[in-house]
Amino acid sequence: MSSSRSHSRVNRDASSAVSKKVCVIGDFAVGKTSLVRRHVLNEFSPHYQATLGVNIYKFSDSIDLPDGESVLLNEIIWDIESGDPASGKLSTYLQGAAGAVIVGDIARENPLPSMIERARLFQEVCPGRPVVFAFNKVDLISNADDGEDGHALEEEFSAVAMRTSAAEGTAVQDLFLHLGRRILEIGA
Amino acid sequence: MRAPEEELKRLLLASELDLLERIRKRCDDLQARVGDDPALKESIRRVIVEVLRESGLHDHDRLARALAPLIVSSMREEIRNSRDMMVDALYPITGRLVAAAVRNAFTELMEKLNRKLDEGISVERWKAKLQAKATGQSEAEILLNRNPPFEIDEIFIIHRPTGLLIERVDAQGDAEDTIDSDLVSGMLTAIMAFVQDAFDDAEGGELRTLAFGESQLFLQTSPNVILAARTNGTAPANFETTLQEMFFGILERWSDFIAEFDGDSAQDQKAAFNSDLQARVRDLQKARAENFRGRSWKARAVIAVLLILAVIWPGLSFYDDYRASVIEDRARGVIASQEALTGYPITLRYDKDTKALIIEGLLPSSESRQQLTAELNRRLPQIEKRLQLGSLRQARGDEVGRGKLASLRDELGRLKSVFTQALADLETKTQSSNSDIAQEFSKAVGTLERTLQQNQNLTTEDIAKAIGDLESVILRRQDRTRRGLAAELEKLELARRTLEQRLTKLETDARAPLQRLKAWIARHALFLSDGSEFRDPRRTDALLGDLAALIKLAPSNVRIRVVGYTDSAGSERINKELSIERAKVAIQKLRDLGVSNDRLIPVGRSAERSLAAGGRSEGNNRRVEFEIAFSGE
Repeated sequence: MSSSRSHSRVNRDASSAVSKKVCVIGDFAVGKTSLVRRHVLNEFSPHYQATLGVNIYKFSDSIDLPDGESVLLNEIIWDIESGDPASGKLSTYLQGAAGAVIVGDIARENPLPSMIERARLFQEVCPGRPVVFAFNKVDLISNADDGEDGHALEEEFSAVAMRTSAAEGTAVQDLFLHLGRRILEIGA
Repeated sequence: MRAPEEELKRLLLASELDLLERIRKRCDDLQARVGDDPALKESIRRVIVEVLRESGLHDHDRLARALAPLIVSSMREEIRNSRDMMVDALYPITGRLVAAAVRNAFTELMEKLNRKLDEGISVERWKAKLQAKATGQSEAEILLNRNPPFEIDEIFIIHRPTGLLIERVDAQGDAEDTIDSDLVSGMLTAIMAFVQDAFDDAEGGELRTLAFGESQLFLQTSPNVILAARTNGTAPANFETTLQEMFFGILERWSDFIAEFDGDSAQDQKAAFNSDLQARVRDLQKARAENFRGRSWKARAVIAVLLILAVIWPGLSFYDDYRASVIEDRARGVIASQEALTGYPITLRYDKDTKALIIEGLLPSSESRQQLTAELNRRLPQIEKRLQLGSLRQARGDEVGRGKLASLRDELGRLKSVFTQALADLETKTQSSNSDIAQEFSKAVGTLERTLQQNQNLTTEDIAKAIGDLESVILRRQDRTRRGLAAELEKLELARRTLEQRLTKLETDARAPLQRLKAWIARHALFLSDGSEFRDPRRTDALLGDLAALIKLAPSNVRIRVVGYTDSAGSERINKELSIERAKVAIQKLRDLGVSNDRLIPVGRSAERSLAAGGRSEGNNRRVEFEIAFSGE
């Protein structure tokens, strides 16, 4: 439970602004906080510091919808501690979220079960809300063909899975942009 | 053996060679001391302290000038680098200094306040003064506590399920937004969720306040909304209640809007909600200015009750008076309509306490009494009537009246015969207008007789007037019959004197019961042993029996004050009650003996009029005395 920072990529005087709660969840030390900090503050620290409770960030982005309309989306990002998905605490934090980023560590042996567990929990707490999957730490695998490709996830949750690197910034913006667009498309 | 050249060189250049040797030695020494950096450092290290001290002594200013910039900058650097250490090191000292400074400033403020207070006068100040006297606190402290500075900085309305900010109102009007309100909202929601999870209050308890330094965050929550008010200073007692009322007001009006909130700033009614919230915050600020005292319904209720009493009380008593006067007027009308009662002394009054019409007086006969009662019952059917009327025949029933009146009749008969005789004589002597005189005489005598028959309370004046009439009748004829009448007049004079004597006696007799009553009262009192026990019950009963008989004989408008006394032991309040109690016991006994309650007035005089002279026993002070009440008392 700690500090919160905000960053905006656009001027806030856009015609209309929509605020949405976005949750970032995933197993212990997969790089949730690093992903968020790369996204919001564009910074990275190799030192690990566990998140206690929730960190909250804000990121404003102007998103172009397919119909040509441009909407200012204020993402209130809840960077939530890994915790135990079965404990109920996680569900409390997830409540009211418009979308979620589910993060896994691509360098680990089998990241899928914990991601699936969390994705199912999110669908249970916020049915019908979009999720995106991030296989993080892609910079740590030497062969690009190694590791999980996430097809199983994409099929079960009809969601995009991306390989990201918080350390190098790979696909981080795309990840959040994609989620933001999905949120606006579905509408709250 | 050295070479000859060497020998020669030695001889020639001995002194130079020595010098050279010495120089080399010194060079080596110097080389050892300052030849390279470590040696130089070592050399300087040995002397530098000494050098600095000496130059500090001899050339202080120059040294200071030279060193100052270096020292200052290095100190600055040092402070910058080890800020935390400095803070830790300085904290105890500065802490104490700050505390002392604050204390001083506070004391100064107190003194200033006290001074100001001494200069001005206000109700608040007097209240504080009294409170200070009562609690022993300083007056300034009380005033300071009473109105501690308190400010509402900003109000957040947060959508609880998403943690999104619905609206933020800057209560102070300065748009300074140091930290993003969206983040504050999210964080607050997360903290509340965390607290709820962590402490798992089964009864649904919620986080109510967060305090940081002088600031406080007051939270009002519902499942859908969080209202957070950031404040500064000590919150007055009613602030939370007022905030809660505001929160409920918002919930009541905007629950639909809030339930549908989706984070879209362009949502319908958003602007309306915003302006409504602004208005509510303004109200809250207004309440703050009044220190959240609110509308004091208690004071209003008390005033309202007092007002109602003030209206109803006089209204009721006015109505009572009005009703009493209507009843009295009607009863007077009834009495006036009874021709037989003309000239009889009848008084009436309506007693508001017992709600009874009291009629006192004398009637010519028991028939007229029945008539009057019937008429009163017809005209005033709902009113309780208490008739204390004596009718003449009844009055004569008592032995005194009957005897006196019989003798008065005899007297009158004799007087009549005297007058008749005198008239007959006059007639024969004057031989003129005898019938006239006879008529007047018989008329005057008839009037006198009627009066006597009708009224027991015949006064000397009445009789004197009647006699005067007779006299004047006679005197009118006197000039014509003076000589002839002289003897007759003497006879008449004699008769008049006799009549006068009889009347005086009659009057004395009529007054006698009252005189006897007065005499009895002057000589008797009832003594008590303790409490309401009479000292000698049998004697007391005998005395009260006498008294009751005397009261009954006395005219009905004579009332008796029954006065209880106590000894001086015990409290005044208890003695007062006891003395009245004693009077009431005596009155009860008199009532049992048939005396009307209306004629008895209980009075308590505790230990007044002590009978114990010179500090002797006070036993005789425990008594009941009797007094004749003043008429109209």
